[in-house]
Amino acid sequence: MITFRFILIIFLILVVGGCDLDKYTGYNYEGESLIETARITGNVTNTFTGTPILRATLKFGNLITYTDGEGDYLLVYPLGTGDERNRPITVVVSRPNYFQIETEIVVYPDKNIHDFALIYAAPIIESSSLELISQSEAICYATILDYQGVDDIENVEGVFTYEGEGVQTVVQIPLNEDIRFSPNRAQFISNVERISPLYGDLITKVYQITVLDKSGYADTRDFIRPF
Amino acid sequence: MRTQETLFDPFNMDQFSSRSFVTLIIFLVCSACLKLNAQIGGQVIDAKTHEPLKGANVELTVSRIGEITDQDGFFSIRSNLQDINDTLVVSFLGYEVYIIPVSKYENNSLITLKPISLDYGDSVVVKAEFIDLPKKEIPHASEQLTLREIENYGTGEIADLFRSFSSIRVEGNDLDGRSIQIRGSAASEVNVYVDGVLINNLGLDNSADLTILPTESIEKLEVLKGGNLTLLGKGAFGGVVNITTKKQFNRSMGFQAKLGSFDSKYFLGEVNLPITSRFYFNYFGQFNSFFPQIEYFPDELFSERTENKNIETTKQNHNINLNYFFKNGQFSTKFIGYFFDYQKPAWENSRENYLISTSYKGSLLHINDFEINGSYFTSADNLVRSASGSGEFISDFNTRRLNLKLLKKFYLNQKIELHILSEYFHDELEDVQKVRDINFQESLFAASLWENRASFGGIFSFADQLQNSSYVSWKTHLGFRGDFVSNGNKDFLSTIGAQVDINKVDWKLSPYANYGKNVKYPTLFENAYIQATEKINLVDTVFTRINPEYNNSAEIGLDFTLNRSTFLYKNLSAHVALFSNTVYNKILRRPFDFQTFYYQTGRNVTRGVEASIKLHQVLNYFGLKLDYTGLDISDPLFYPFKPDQNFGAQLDFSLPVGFYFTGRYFYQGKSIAWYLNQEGAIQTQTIQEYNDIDISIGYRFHIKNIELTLQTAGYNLLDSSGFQYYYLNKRYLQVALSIKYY
Repeated sequence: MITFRFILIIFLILVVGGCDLDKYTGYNYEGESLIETARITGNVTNTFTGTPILRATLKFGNLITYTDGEGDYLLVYPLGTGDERNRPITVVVSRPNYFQIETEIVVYPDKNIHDFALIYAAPIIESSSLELISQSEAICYATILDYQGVDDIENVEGVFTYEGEGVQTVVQIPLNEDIRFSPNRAQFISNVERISPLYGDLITKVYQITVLDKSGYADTRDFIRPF
Repeated sequence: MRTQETLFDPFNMDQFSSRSFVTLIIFLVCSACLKLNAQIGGQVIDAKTHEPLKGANVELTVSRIGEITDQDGFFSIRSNLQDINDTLVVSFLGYEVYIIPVSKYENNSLITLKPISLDYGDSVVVKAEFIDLPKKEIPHASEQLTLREIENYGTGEIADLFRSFSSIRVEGNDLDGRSIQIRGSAASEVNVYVDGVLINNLGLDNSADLTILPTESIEKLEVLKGGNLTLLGKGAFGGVVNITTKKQFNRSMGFQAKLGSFDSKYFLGEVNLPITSRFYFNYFGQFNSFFPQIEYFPDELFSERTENKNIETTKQNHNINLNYFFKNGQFSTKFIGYFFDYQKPAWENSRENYLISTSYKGSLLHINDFEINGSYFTSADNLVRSASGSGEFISDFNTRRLNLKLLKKFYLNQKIELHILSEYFHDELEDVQKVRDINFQESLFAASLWENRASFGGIFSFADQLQNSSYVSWKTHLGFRGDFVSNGNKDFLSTIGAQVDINKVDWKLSPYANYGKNVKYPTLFENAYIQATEKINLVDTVFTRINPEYNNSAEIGLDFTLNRSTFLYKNLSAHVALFSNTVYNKILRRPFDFQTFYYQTGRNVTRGVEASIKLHQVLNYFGLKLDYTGLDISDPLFYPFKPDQNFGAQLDFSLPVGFYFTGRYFYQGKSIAWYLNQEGAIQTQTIQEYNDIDISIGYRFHIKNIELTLQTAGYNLLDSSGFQYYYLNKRYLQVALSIKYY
């Protein structure tokens, strides 16, 4: 029996000595990184011009981020069990006057690069002028660009201020399509009375052009009266 | 993408017409009247010394009914399901196995067991006795399910079996693991043992995955309820599940094939081989493939479902048992392998789990009544995600647990017993994430965590009879346990319990009570997470040190059995218990912004009542069980999705040869769940109650030594639930054919 115990003790010494003793008596709770996050990066540009869009809002699941001056964004995204199982998350990219993008992506650990191009939705007032044709009459021109086509434009208006007998009146004058330069660019035109029998004299130094399209997107720009 | 649950309805249940049901019931009753009732009894003694043998195993192999001999070696198996082809097997440690066909057995005779002797002519006195830990625990509520009931249930998932227990809930799926909850506890607060080996995982949730074993390989399922079980229940605030796998000592083999909804296929096989009179070999294997049709996304809320027809899962279970009987003990080695593969486009998860356990129980080197057990449990979880353009993302998650256990029984005198247990645990996990392309491989992060723990515990039990009245006996238990974790945590806790048995001729009443304290240590991940947040200064709103969770629980209960047979039923057993569990320092994980915050301010009180009544042999062949559980959880934030009420009704009908039937109706009451809204605020939602029915019908018959069983089973027939969002709830039908050769 002594030999048996002797062999057992020798065996135990060999086993205990052979293994990493600290591992079997101590503890370690240190890992390189246990907070599993992914980085989602990319940029947002305008589809038609290719120029970066700043302050675009990106919503990945419940998390929100914005683009910087270069149209770039960065989001640190915590990975959940659903993401690990390739559950797609909803992404919403939006910026006022642009059509919103809604899509689904799968987030991977490490780097995720997703670039988005937004379609400009609103009409754009490119230029406008006011030409005097007589003492009492002028013509207002406005060139409007709409990427969705000229036919998408609902109405174009000029806003002018008159004064007669001490009373100021703001008058909205609709502009009508005159020349269509291309399917999405057209010149709009209207006569503007310099001295109106109804409202008095045109006193405005700055006049305004507003344009509204059929989806409700609008653009407004101020122009200086040349005369 | 997301649809309601009506989507998954592969079978139309209207096909079951009421007329065929009535015909079936008439057939069942007719075949019931043809069978006769019987009882087998006898006494087991030592062939040499003629002393009665206490604690010998007596088993009927075909009916699968077993018993253990009493103090004087007597046994009596009550069975109306008597079968002419049955075999009586009597086995006891250190003795040769006694096998006799029932047809040749003369009832109430003396069975003499020959001691196994290594040296000829040297008689051996065996003092060894199996230490049945669940029976030695302090008095508590317990329930069990035996082989025949498990077979009649006809399910392939262990989790489904637990539905027939009262106050137990099951949740999960193959991918998340199927876990059980006892009396409103979390899944992590239940310890699951397979033949004495703890199988709770080392991942974040610390729960046990019950898919590791196929149901057909189980001999007995035992549930011990209560939060202060001394020897088995460390950290188990809910209770303990003890699974005993099949070990048949007679030569037999079997094969089973099952086909079911969702293209599921099961193939099972078993071989039981006595190699010598002392050395026994058992193998059990299962192969399963399945197309779940939905995604398992744990973060989906409530009734959200995502359909995906491209998912395929395969499962393999292998179970080998080797038993060798020495003259004074038993040496056992067990191997369990569980392999799981889940595939969908661009995503594949494969898992390998191995459990190797070796134990010796009996006497050795002049030390009597002890058990030594060493086990090694490893799991490897490999996930490959292929992203178009960025290569593959690989996650390797490996865990290893080494457990050494020593059990010893001392008889201090006739009235006092002491059972002691000392244990050592080495827990280790590795988490490696990397990105791989054709040209390069880069590690994203790696963590290797480990921890060691030593425990010792013991139960003193004092038993005595009341003076002047021999039918009243009582037993008090005093349990204590000390735990030492390598990180410096240590606790010394104790429990007390008492039970009184009032034994009359035809009834028995046993009131019991227990009170105690339990501790649950934070998991490796929880500890590591706190260290990681500390490092990057994210600790301003949470604690910096994680504390163990504590539980105080008290229970009073009453067990009653009545053996007075009436024309309606043969015997009746009833159980009622009142319990209260208070948990302190409960850890709550809550995501906020891009971090997960841990809060440890939790205190929760769960109070409840549990009652069940069981009628055996109603009209000879039926069994009826009713159970009810009511729960009151004070803080549902820590215990969400726990129904406030559970009710179950189960009806069984069983013949040894011929038809058998098991039907179970269950009801789950309202529960409260919570989620975080878009602003990160906690929103609670009340989940509506739901009902369900599971049915299994089978027919079994014998041709000489071959037993054939044809069975059909249906689950979730009334499925109206949508809340167990990670439980695969759907109607499921299955047809099974099994062949067994004895």
